[in-house]
Amino acid sequence: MSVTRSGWQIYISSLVGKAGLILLIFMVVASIYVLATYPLDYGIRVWSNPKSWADNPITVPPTWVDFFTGRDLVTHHITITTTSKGTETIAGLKFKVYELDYDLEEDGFPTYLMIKIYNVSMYSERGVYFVINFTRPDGDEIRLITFAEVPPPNSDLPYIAFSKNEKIIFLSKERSVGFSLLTYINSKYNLNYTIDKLNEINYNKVLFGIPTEEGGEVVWKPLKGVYKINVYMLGEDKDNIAMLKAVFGGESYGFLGTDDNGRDLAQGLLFGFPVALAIGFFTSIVTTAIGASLGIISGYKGGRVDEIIQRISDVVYNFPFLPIIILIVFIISRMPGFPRLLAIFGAIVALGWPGLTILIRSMVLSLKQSQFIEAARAIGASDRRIMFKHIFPNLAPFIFAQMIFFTPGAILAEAALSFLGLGDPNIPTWGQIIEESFRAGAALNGWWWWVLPPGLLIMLAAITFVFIALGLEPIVNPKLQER
Amino acid sequence: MVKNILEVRDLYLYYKTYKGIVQAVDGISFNIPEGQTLGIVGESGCGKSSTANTIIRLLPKNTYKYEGSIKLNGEEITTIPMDEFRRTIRWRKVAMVFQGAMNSLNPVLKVGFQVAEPLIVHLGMDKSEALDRARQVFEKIGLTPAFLDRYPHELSGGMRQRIVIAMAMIMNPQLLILDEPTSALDVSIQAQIMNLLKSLKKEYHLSMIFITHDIALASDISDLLAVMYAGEIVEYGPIEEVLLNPQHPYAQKLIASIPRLREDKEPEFLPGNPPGLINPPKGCRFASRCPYRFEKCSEAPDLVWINGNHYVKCHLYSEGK
Amino acid sequence: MGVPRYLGVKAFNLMLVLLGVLLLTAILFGATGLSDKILRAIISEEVRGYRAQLSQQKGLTPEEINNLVEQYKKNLEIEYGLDKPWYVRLPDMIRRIVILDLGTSKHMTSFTGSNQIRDIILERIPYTVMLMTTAVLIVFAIGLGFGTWLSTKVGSLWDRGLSFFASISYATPTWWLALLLILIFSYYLDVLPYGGLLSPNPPKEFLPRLLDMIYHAILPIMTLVIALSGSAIYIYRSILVSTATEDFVTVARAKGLPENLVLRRYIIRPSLHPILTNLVLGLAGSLTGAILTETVFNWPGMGRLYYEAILNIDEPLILALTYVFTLIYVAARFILEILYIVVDPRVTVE
Repeated sequence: MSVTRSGWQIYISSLVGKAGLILLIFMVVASIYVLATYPLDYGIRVWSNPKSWADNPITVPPTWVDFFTGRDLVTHHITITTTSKGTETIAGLKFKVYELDYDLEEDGFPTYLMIKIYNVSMYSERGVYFVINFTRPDGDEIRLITFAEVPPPNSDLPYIAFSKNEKIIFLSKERSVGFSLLTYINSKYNLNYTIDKLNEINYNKVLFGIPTEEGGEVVWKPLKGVYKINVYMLGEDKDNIAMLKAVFGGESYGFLGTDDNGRDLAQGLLFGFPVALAIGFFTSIVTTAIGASLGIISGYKGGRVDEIIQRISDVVYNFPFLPIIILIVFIISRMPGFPRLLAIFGAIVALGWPGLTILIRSMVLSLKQSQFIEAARAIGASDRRIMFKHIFPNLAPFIFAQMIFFTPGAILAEAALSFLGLGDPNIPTWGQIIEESFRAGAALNGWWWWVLPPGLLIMLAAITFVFIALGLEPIVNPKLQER
Repeated sequence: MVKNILEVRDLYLYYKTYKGIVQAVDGISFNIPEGQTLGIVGESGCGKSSTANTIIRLLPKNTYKYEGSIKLNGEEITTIPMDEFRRTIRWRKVAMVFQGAMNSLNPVLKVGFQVAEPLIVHLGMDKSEALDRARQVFEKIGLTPAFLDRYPHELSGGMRQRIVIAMAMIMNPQLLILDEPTSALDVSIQAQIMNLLKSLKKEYHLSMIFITHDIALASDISDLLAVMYAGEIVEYGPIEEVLLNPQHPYAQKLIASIPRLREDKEPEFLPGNPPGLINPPKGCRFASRCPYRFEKCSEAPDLVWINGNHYVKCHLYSEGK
Repeated sequence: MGVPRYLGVKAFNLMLVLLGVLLLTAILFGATGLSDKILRAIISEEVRGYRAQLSQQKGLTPEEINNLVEQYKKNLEIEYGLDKPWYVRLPDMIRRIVILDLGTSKHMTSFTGSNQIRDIILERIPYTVMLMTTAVLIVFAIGLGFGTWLSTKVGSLWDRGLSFFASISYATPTWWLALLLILIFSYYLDVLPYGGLLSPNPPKEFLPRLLDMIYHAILPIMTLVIALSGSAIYIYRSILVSTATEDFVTVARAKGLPENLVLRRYIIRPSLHPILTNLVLGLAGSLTGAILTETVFNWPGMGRLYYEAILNIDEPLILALTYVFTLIYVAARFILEILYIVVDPRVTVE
């Protein structure tokens, strides 16, 4: 049909039409990327799993805020080692040495220092003894902490410690580290700090800084350079640490920062693309299909069928939308095992169809009078054939435009329901992420990176379809075409 | 010599659309002697309605060129400032019955008030006095005074058209413009309306412009006839002259297309479409459809005097052919 | 069709809506087994209390206690109607709700401590009205004002800018905009409170208390106004433009009527039907749709009450609120039908 060709030309000549199409392509590409690279059970396996995010800094802004703050924020850094540097004999005892390096380049303090020890194998009942030393760029070596790990009695050797749960030592919080630091700074810089005073200024500043005097006050300034964490292990020769990890907490993280679980928001938000598109598409397709078929049947068949469909659609059309949809989703999603996103989908469809039914019915009523329908009926075409082969194709462009127009509404409804806590916490949708940011008080704490991007993405998704709908309008609505 | 109620000289109305500039009225001139009716005929989209709207200065928002002279009763009205034009000319001197009279009435106001409204606005009459006057006009036009209190949707098409005419007559205008006043009506009602107009014309010695695409209808009421084609008046003259002795090839075709009752002659029909009013051809605008076309037609023709008050815009009649 | 018959037909249809909503709510609660579950939880709670009370009394053998408890439980089940299936029990509940015998809430109480649902709802309505109605009226004034202005400038740069702005406004979730404004005005600028009805130690006198409330209402109202204005302007502009292109407007101009009279009498007046539809349904919708805004701003209105009722699975309160919401909506529809008759002589025909 030539109509489609010229329709396409009209569509693509409009600015909003073009913009909508470009945005849609962008969204589809992002979704394909996610589907190709993320595991299907990403939500449960990664997003809702605290272990995936344990090494991340909590509620830090994106790395690119450097451009605006005028200061290089300390980037998050993780150093891992799996091999020992060698052995060292101290006071006649042979220690296995593991070294973890870190180069502080930015003008700031890492927000925390954490060390993690994985899978230590021991070949003697006496166990192992750890000493953790910290070497600063100025050459000073501070003994931070020492501790022992003994295999439980009657266990088979080699005994593996820290296998299920790795040993986590929060060096910048650990009390014994505090005392080590206190001795160090009081002797080196002639300060007479108490442990309370030290707790007040936080260990990370002392670990990674030097005191300077400013107006009679002691101010800690970051000390740039290479830091080394040396883990000494005393035990049998065969005793071994499988992996050591040092986490230097960043002041910023990733492209879109992190939430209060340390989750990389960029990852979660990216995952939201296919979810939003899927919800938008499926709800609008199903809603439009139901609404349009009922409208066609109602308008064409007339009589009792028409009466019933019209009554029901009128009643449902007049439901107060938000309260009822919340109620439906809430009750359905309380049925055990029922997927919540499916409940949301079902509720939007259940309340969304009547508008289209009413519209299509009135269009069918006037189409029914036209001669080609009369002719089809005169040659004895069946009702079904007339509805599918004659009426539907005539309304198809309009129905298609209505479908597009319904999509942003569906996306916004899903987001709103998720925001009210009715969504699936295991699937990071944009609404879900804002809900979590709301519960964590992100706006009140100024964590804008957790508030703005998900909302902007919802807007982007909605506006994509609004633009496409606007671009389609002059094609579908011939009255506008004349102007 | 009879005084001219209206003299139009070199009137232009161009307006801009996103496709280009529409030359809706392109340099037309005509006179209407007092008490006479000028019929303007032509195909739809030839600029008839634009001509009418230009006289009452209902210009489109995107007007590009509005030029020329319109003298009403000898007074130049194109130079009157807009607000004064509204207060002194519209409806007081020039009233109009619009095309699509079905929608000419405000659906939420009683028709009596709509008819009386100009008296209240222009003459400061109070409402009851104005309604009294409206009642008189209603009676004159053959409408029951009870209709004053009706809403438009309660009345038939013919009734509504009578009310629209009553509305136009309420201020005793010097000139009444009728733009396709009957095109939306049944033939029987059309005849009633035409009879009403003819009696009004006689009784009030009314000057009118009667715009229609139906040349037979125009001949029923007009004293003068102007044939418009693509924004121009191609032939202008007394009604009998133009009808019986059409000069312009387009006018000839147009008149030949009227079906005759008692003649054994097939009505002719004119192939092709008139040119668009955006970028019309440089020369004669009818050239592409004209059977008598020759080289000179690529130049724009001037208005040529035939005899008396009969003019034609065609190279066939220019000197030195 | 005469006016009474017309209104009668409309009223009948709206009653169907009301019944439809209640039926749907009842079926949702009943068919999913939620209703039974809630009742069972309540009964077992009471039975446990009774058993504890009996065991305090002396001279009762464990067997006697068990018998008494069984009997008590049976009585309770009959009292709550659990001996009957939900489709027998719930219609009675609907009947009581319809006559506004709303019953008592299971978990929530009013600020004064009453658990009568009627008290709880009546207490909340004014707060919702104060917030939402104010916002909707401001939006209406802005929408009609700018819409009228823009309707005279069709196709201008302003006009095209508006349709873009309206698209963005439509695509912006109000509740997210609320968070954005909290971030700006409460966190960065620190000039407006982020939520609640009153300050932590609210003044006792009427006027300062009212001012404190208004101070707290600024941000939510601002949110609603920003979020809804774009679409409102666009809608009113479109309504007026479609009237302005009618023939009778041209006729009015030809009649020499001054432009402001044309606008008032020939453009706005005939457009009152759709304008009122938007205003009245906007007012009704705002009362029922306050759930999101009130939740974000912790505003103790009906919307937040509904949200809390849902979180607490307070079945009678949910049913009652759903009914009240629908009632408000249906009442607004009916008022609208009456208004139509006043502003539009064409309505009762057809």
